[in-house]
Amino acid sequence: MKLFKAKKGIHIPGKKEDTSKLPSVKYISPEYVYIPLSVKGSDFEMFVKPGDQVKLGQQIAKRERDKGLPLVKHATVSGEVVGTERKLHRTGLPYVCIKIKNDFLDTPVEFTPIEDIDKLDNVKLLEIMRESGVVGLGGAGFPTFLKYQNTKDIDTIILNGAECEPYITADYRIILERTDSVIDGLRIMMKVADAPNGIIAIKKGKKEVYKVLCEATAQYDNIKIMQVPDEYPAGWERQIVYRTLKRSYENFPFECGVIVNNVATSAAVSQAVREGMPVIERIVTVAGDAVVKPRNYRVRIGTLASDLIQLSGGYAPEHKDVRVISGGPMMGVSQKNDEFVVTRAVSAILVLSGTSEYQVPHHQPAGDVLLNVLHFVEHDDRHFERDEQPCVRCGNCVKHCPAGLQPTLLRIAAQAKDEDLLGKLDVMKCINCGTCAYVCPSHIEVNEVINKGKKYYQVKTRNKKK
Amino acid sequence: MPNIQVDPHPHIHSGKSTHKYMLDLPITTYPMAIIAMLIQFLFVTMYLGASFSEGILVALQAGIVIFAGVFSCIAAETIWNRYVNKEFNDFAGWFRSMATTYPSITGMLYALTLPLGTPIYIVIIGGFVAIIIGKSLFGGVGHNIFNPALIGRAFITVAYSGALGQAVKYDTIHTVFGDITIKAADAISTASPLAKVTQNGGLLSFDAIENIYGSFSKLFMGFYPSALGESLSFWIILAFIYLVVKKTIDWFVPVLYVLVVFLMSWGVALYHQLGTPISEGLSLQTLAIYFPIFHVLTGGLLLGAVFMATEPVTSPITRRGRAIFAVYLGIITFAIRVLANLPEGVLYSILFMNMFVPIMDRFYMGQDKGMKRKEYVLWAVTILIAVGVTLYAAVKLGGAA
Ligand code: SF4
Ligand code: SF4
Repeated sequence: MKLFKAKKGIHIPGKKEDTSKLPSVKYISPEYVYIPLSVKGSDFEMFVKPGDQVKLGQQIAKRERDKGLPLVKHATVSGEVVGTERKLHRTGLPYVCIKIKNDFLDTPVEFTPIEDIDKLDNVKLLEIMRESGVVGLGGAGFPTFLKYQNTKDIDTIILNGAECEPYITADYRIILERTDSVIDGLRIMMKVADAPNGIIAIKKGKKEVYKVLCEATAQYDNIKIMQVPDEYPAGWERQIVYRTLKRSYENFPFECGVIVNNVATSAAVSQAVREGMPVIERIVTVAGDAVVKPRNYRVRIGTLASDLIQLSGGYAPEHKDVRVISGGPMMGVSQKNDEFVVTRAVSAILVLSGTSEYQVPHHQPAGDVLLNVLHFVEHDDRHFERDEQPCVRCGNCVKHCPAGLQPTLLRIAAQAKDEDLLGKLDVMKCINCGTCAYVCPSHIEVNEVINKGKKYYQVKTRNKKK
Repeated sequence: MPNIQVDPHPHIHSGKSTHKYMLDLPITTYPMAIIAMLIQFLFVTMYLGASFSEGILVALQAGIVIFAGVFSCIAAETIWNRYVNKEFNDFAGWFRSMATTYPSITGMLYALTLPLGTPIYIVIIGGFVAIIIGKSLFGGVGHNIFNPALIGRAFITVAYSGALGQAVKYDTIHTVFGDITIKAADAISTASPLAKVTQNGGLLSFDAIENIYGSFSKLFMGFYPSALGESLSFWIILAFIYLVVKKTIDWFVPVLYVLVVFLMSWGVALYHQLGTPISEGLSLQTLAIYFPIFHVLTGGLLLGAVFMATEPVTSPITRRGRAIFAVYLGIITFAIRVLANLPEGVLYSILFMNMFVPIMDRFYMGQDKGMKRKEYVLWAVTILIAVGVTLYAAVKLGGAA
């Protein structure tokens, strides 16, 4: 019955040509960096106070396990701590940030490099991963060492280089520019988890990356390069695991013996172990139709996005309205202003033209209506037309939902606030990937409604349990 | 410094639109109306011996029926949106309203199911019923449970059965220009093929079909008494290919539907040994293959399968649900045709199955993790029902003959 199975995922035009061929530019460190802590700020223990001198890579704040996800923050420039300030985080929320004034000297902290990983035991390696603040650099921001705490049955480590969101080429450039670090990081992680196999998953059709990786891994028999289809969301853990190993799991990949990490994370692990350097910079793609020169940058964590947009030539003058998005166009967050911080998990800053340019005016002349309806007016895909039509139950969303849900039924249940129905429709399995809204011909913001329903469901079921 | 806007994700869109999607239906059905007029003209002049001017009148009559069907739907939608929904009060608003509620598509599908001689007032009543009762009262586009075009058709079939029974006959054609009497009125001109089968107790030998309707190619081209659009098999198959290539419809819904009817009627024909064994050489008679083909080509099965059963609003939302839906459509169509002796099997089966759409959606609710056990059970039961109905029909027809 494969025939009638929902077709998972959908091909989205990549739009990566703008930036994929350009080597990433090293961005001279900014005058101030902002190291985001959290919305409250008080759950972090601060090691510095205003006026202190900090060195590059020095720990400046830490959150313990009992207060949330254990995270460690580092100074990404050397200089003087100015104080705390609120700045927008990639999630769109104002975070308390530690502001550091750059002295442009980049004095690093002392460290003895580790040459031979075989001499280190796993506990020590985990310790390094933890202390150097390696988190999922693909967009999740989940502390990496947590994935390696229980590695009993792990037999495969998968590096995720699929980068399924359009526009973004940061991971692509990392693989090309830091091939050795990526592979080294993978080997370190395989050692930590005692996993015999490693897989690097990349998208089909990226010949250059494939060739580079194949050459670089030729000497390691246990590392394989595998290609996943060019579909969104091919980079989703569940899809990667299924496409490469044909395994599926309930909640977490370790249930079927797999740990998935991003390629950028792998490079960071290598850097942390070999050079003792925590994650102080990352590659960020600045792209979109409303920015003058799309490009990749190697930037210090804590840089403001507005600086990067200025560096890319600023906003294209022909657009009156723009959207500034942290992350990719499918799952990224549209920010209130462009002064948000580049954190470890921001892989792209997109500047897209505003939605108002596509708004259908309410009182259009009949001729324009006709042209519009008959689709003679160019409808391009950078926007989301704001002319919502009733759902015609076309089934597109069901066909493409990667989680195998029925988005339109979820939408109805969410609007009716029917928590029983939401539960039966497995609302918690929705990953909020946005595919349903992307394909909906009636231009309904399906995932937005479902997300609200999901929150409602969470609150309701929590109350019930009490 | 441009103004920064905030919008929910995803920030891009596939560029698909309901208009583009719906536009494929006029692209396939509006030419069909022209072809229907042409075929009616050719049919009465070439096969029924009508004169050229009579043929023109018949073609005009066909055009008027179709126009009345479409027009009445648009009028009904206009009245409803203007005076009940109060959606618009100027021409552009009207245009936009019509372009987003698609009454012209409903209207055309409805018109294509009407026979040539339908009195115009009945056509208009049916059109209003289709839009008002079939769609608007449910809450408009996307909320209707039943296929609106078929609601209109079913209403007039029940309410005006006498007039409609007369309308499909070609011995005296009632046109708006007056009656045209066909001198060569013979068997072919007096009944639609399925009605003929019904008169013959459900079975018809190959020779009988050839005698009445001429060759099968005539059936294929639509030269037999039926509703205006039903008989245009060749065009419907072309439209099917177009719609599948454009991904407007799911290909397996019409295919499964037709296949089930085909297999079931073939089963009956084989049981009664209507055909000749393979050893006598291959022809349409071999193994009675003509009988299922006859069932597929007549009675509006193709029209219903391609345009009505695939209508997204009134079919299940999941692909596997749609497959089950199509199979049951086939079973019920066959059962109505053969067991209940009604030629309108397609019409009633689609309306009947529309009611079960919510149940089928509930069956496939939740995360799709491949075939569940109860799904295998459902398929097994379905196949058993199909086989059972076929056997019962075979035995019952034998008794009647
Ligand atoms: S947002 Fe949720 S419901 Fe929509 S396609 Fe993604 S997983 Fe499916
Ligand atoms: S894609 Fe949009 S119109 Fe189609 S079924 Fe889903 S919500 Fe309805």
